[in-house]
Amino acid sequence: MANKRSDIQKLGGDIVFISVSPTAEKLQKFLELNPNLPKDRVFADNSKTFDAYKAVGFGNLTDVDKNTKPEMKPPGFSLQDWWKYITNVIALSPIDPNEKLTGPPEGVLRLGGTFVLSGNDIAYAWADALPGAHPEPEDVLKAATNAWGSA
Amino acid sequence: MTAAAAGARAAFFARAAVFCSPKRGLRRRSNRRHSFFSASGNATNTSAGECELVECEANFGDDDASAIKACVARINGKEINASAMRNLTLLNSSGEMQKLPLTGDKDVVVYLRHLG
Repeated sequence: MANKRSDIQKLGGDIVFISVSPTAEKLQKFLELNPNLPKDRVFADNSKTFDAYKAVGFGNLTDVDKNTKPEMKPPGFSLQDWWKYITNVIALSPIDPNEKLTGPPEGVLRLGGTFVLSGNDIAYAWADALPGAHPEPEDVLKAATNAWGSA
Repeated sequence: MTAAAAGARAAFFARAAVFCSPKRGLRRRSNRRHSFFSASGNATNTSAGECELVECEANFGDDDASAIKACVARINGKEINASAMRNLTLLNSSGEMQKLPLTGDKDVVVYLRHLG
């Protein structure tokens, strides 16, 4: 979605990204690895209870209804992308270094989603069914254009 | 009906036509991704793909146009409105807690999974 920011701005809006991270250092590392993301538009929910995610009703990976589980697709990484992923996945994981683990950390299981807001209205909402099952950026832009009109 | 109430009614229908039709939400689901609605009635993670938008409600007998209810999305059994995101305070990359810098009007909010 980051590469749609200029289109969103042309419509008079803007975009923000929210993720899960217990520390600012992990967020900084993530931004370093993803220079296409605008640093001032990326934020982390560092609460132990994932308040920002719960506030919008998003669930956990373990809650997904198995009867309607969608098809998983590979992420389409290049060899370089895979290397970057493998060498950084632990450093970026949403695990508080001061916390003792007794099972899979909940931060790993959290699912995301996408909203288009228009004033007090939600014009579009998408809940990821599984990691990577995000909406097409073009569909989100179309929803924004429909809701906001052209600038 | 007073002029103010008539104005409120017209404003409501204009908003409803643009934002609040559940059919529109259903129709516009992507067929390339994994969008679907669960039919299981499961109380847990039943929302996936494009979510249902709940129709607006208004009290036309009230002259106050503010009686129009904002459009909300239904996600995993909860009705979510825009204010759920407009009041968030989160960690920024400088390590400070910051209120989410939304325009207050035209915003796209993307919830990623964890950073890894």
